[in-house]
Amino acid sequence: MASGDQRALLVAYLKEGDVRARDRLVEELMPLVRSLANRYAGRGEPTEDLVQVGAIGLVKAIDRFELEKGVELSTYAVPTIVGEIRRHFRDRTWGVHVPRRLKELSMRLARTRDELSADLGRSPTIAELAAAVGVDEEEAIDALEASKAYAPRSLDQPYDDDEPGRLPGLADEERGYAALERGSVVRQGLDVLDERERRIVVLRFLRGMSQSEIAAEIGISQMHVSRLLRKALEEMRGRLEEPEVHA
Amino acid sequence: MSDVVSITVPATPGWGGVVELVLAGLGARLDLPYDRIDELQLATTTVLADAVGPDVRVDASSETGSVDLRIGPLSAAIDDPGRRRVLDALADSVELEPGDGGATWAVLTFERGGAR
Repeated sequence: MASGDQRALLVAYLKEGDVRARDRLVEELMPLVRSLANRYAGRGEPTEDLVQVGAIGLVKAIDRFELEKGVELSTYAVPTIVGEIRRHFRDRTWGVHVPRRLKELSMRLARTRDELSADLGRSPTIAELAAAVGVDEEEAIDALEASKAYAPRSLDQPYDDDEPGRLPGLADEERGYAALERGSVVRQGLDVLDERERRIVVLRFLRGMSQSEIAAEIGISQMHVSRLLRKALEEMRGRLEEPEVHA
Repeated sequence: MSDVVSITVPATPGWGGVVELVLAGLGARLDLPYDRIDELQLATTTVLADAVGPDVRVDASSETGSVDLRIGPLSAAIDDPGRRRVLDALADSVELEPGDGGATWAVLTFERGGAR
């Protein structure tokens, strides 16, 4: 798109409120967003999530653009898009400050853990994990514990591409669960969970599947299952304790 | 000398991570698979939420080849069916014992291979 076309669209949106003009600008500049998101790929977040976050940055840049400054929109937008992607890593993925070295080590350990689990047919020990990545056991423990500050991402995203927003097989699991636990405290607690968390809780605590089996069944890492289980139990507990708080 | 680790922390949110770190170290020394350590930590965190202050103590021992945790004092909420279902899935055995002042102590056993 020629810069003159972009400027015309910016004028249409910023001066006349033509939202379609903004949509067109977003559409035209999405390759730039994708290119920037790709720079941050491979750091533990799905590229598509980064693209979505970057797109939010692009929209903010368009909204804040000042026509009189005389700069190109793409030039102006880059720092905003990058800033939004960085903020995503900072705010959404690590709950507390964790040194970069530990973040990188925890990601290596997560990959190694999955690889060793597959090779050994069981979960590796910390000694095995530490040896595989070339650190001592204390460092491995530090990094594994630090990884718990990593927040599961995009929990509300559709899980199943074929049926967005719906988890395969969930309805059957829930019916079975309801039959066993109707009216129970756990059942009430399940209501606060999103579909993926609910499925994981049901598979772990009702069907007795191991974290590795759940990971394989729903296509995420064992470490991710662990994080989701923790989060789910915390949310359920928070919900169950509300009446006591207000009593 | 037996492998026994005791830790006492304030029964307030935020101290669970300290206990988990200690348990990770213990699990590493015992060469437990990481998923067992993770579930041992998850079960402990679940129990700690029912601690009745001001402090809560965790005694971890491995004399029998398994890991035994004794945690307390706890409120009666630990015996809630929902809590028990979670703990029963994570630990190989869960027993509740009466303690001083009407409080409850939980004794959890984790075998090396583990409950499902």
